[in-house]
Amino acid sequence: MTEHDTLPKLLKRNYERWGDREIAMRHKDLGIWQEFTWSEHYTNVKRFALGLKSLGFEPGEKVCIIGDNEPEWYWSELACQAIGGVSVGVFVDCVPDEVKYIVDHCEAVYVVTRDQEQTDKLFAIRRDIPRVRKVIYWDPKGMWSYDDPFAVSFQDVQALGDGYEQEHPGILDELIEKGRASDLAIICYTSGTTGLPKGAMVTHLNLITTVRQWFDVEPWKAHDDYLSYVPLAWIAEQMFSIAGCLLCGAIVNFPERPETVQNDIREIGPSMILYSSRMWESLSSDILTRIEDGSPVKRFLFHLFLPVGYKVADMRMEKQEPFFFWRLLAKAADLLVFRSLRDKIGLKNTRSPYTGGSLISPGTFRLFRAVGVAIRQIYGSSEAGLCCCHRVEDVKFESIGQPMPGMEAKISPDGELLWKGDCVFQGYFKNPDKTAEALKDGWYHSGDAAHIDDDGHVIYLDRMSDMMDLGHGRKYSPQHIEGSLKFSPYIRDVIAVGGGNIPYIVALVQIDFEFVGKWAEKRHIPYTTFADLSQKTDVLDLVEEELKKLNMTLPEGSQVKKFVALHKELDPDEEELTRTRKLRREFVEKKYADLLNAVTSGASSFAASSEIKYRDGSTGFTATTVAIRELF
Amino acid sequence: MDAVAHVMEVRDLTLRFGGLNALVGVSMDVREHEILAVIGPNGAGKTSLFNSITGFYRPQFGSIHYAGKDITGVPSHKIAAMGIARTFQNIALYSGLSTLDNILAARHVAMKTGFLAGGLFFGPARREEVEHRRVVEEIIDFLEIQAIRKQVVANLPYGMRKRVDLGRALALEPKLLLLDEPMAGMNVEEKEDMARFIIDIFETRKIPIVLVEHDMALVMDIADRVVVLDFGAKIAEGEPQDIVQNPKVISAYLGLKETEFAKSSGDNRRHAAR
Repeated sequence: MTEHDTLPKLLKRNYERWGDREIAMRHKDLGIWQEFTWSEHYTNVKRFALGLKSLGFEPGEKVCIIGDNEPEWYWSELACQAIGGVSVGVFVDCVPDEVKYIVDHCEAVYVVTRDQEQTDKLFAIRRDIPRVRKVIYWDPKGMWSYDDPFAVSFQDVQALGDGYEQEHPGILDELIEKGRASDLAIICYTSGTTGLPKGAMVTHLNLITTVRQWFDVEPWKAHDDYLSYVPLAWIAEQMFSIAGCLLCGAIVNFPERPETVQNDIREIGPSMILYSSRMWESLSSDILTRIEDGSPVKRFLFHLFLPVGYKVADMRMEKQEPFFFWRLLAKAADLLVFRSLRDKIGLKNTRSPYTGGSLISPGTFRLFRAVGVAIRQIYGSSEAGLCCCHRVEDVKFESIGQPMPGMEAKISPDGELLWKGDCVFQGYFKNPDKTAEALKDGWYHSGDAAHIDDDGHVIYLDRMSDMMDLGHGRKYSPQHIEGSLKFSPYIRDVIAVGGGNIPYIVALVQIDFEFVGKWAEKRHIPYTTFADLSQKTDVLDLVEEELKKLNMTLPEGSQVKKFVALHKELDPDEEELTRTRKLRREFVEKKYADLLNAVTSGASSFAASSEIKYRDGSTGFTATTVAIRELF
Repeated sequence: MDAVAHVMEVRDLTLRFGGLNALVGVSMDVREHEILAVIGPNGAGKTSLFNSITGFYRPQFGSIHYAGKDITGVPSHKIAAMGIARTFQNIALYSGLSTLDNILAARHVAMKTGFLAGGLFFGPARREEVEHRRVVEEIIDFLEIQAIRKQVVANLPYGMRKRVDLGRALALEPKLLLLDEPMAGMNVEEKEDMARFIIDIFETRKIPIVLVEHDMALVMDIADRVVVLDFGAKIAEGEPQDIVQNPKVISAYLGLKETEFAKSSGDNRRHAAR
């Protein structure tokens, strides 16, 4: 296998292996799925590669690609790599200034664009990118009246390639053979939430190793269907749809337009799919809206069976085999509701639904698991490839999975997650300072704070820069604690406080009045108001259990030590939350300063009296004794 | 003027509804390769002009010649078959049908196979259906309405319905396209999209386009020539820059002082780009 150590070599292997007999990609065009066999795929790459060659492309030069996911994107990238070049993807929604930075920084000599919209961006910045010799567009719509030789069509370049081929027969195969695994394949510009984007240099070895390791965990089969939807400028899509599909021979499917994907995905029924967490979240709200708009029967059935889905999904997550009764109910739920729902969202045949990018919200994660879409988290980066993922049989809400075989993970003394392996990148392009920061002794410093639990699960806490200091070198992430606790149905809101004059973490917990209320009724625990319910011994025990569960996932020294069940609900009217229900941390800490003082002084209760603002403008007072509990 | 070939010649067109003069002796020409804008205040007779051309109204006097033939008073389905397609100010679509079916329905003009063959759907009828579907799909692709292909038109937002209406007109493969307020009621972004489609149609199909429009900035942007109507009569005709300066036009647009009028009309971007 070692001889197929670059992406173009893999393409050639597949072409020789399957030729006209098997489909490599499908693209919906004019409402019909147009198919491309491996030999058509290869021929298109070849024609474009030789076209670039005849324009004067030299090995080591860079090509930028800006456009929606379409076959031409693949052809451009593979063509450029086949003749020794490096491909650089740019996100389609980049404004001209961002495009300018990347095109200029990576020293691109050609820019391949999809359409007039993207081509116009390059015309706008033309003076600032003197290295660029031509812009090559593949969709001629709207380009008819451009007679500037700066812009040329993809098809014309391919036609040049035909001429070059006649003069130099067999040259492409020679060039492909010259490729080495250690050659750069892509430069992947990180989105860079702070400062300018950095270009991670990724070799063929990096990409192919990543995918090999991935297949050890999650084998893909030849002719599986993959839906290419997340941007190709993102490393994850590079790994899955380019390297992954080339390595195993899966079929890449392109939706007609980004906005038709919901229809197209139903027709494809992909076996694997990668959405970013945002996409899952918008899909989940889409499902819920559609249910509410649906017929009363459907709505009734959905709400009837959803708790069953939750229950069974939760049991499976806890690695318990549900009892016969639950299995029966789950089967019924699946047949009556969830199966057709999965069909509607196009995930009926999906074996492997993944989520990447930022962490997915607990609610979304549970909802999809409840309806039978067993989402799994993957964690990776442009710099280190796919680092870890959830295994089918071993999923934990709080973790981002276990390291890939071949990847070595460790936590630095100050809590940073480090990676080592063949997937680790070669450094940032033209940025030795950042490279030195990120790569030390072969370890990639991810900038993420994490810890690894006893089962080998990596638990992501926060960005290193967002960690709070507890003193003595101990750090913790308030967002992580708060986010994790919201998985519990009993807890509505949490504020984790610590650092400064509080040498440990205190959790101020707001119980979920409705859910805990029902729980109390079932157990015949009488209560009157929210304040009353929140201070019941049984309720405090309940909250304590949830916190103990969380503490098991946190590193020693950064666990929650004390907690208080708040006697009132956090309320936007009192400025504790924003109108969008985001916590106003500083305000809350100030407001509850007396309570926090009582906590640090070691008291076991606190007499809280708080002013309440009513919506009519008047104010009132409540007085409650709030218990302070310590966890051991 | 004489050297320019005319696709359509309208002469002394007069249209009355009882005592009301909708059009009074209007004459104008549509040249072979131009975007012609018809502007004027509300009730100036712009839509009446379109309706007379397309056979919805029968003018009392005057003539309309299209491609050398007199088409005055010819019924509208025959006009459509001659290659004059139009869109409507108030969108005329089958609201219960999908986008695809609406555009496909417009192809009936071009359908040749008979009732029996079509009903049985074999041989030539089948081939014909495939060919028509292809034309329609190309229009859908052109207008970027793939995402609403299967949606019922009644559920679509206004801007999208306008686009479908344009698609329906294009399905007739017109040799002259009449657009009645294609951008009315749209937001800025939708207007820009529509303007781009109009220019693209003009450039790819190489057909003359006549449009009625209120937005002066857009008219200045895309039109080669402008005809101004007021109270049913033509008060001016010429290039956009000249029209803006014309005192008759300025006074017709009551409430707009000369400077304001010039300002609202903006630069002519399409011409500047050439």
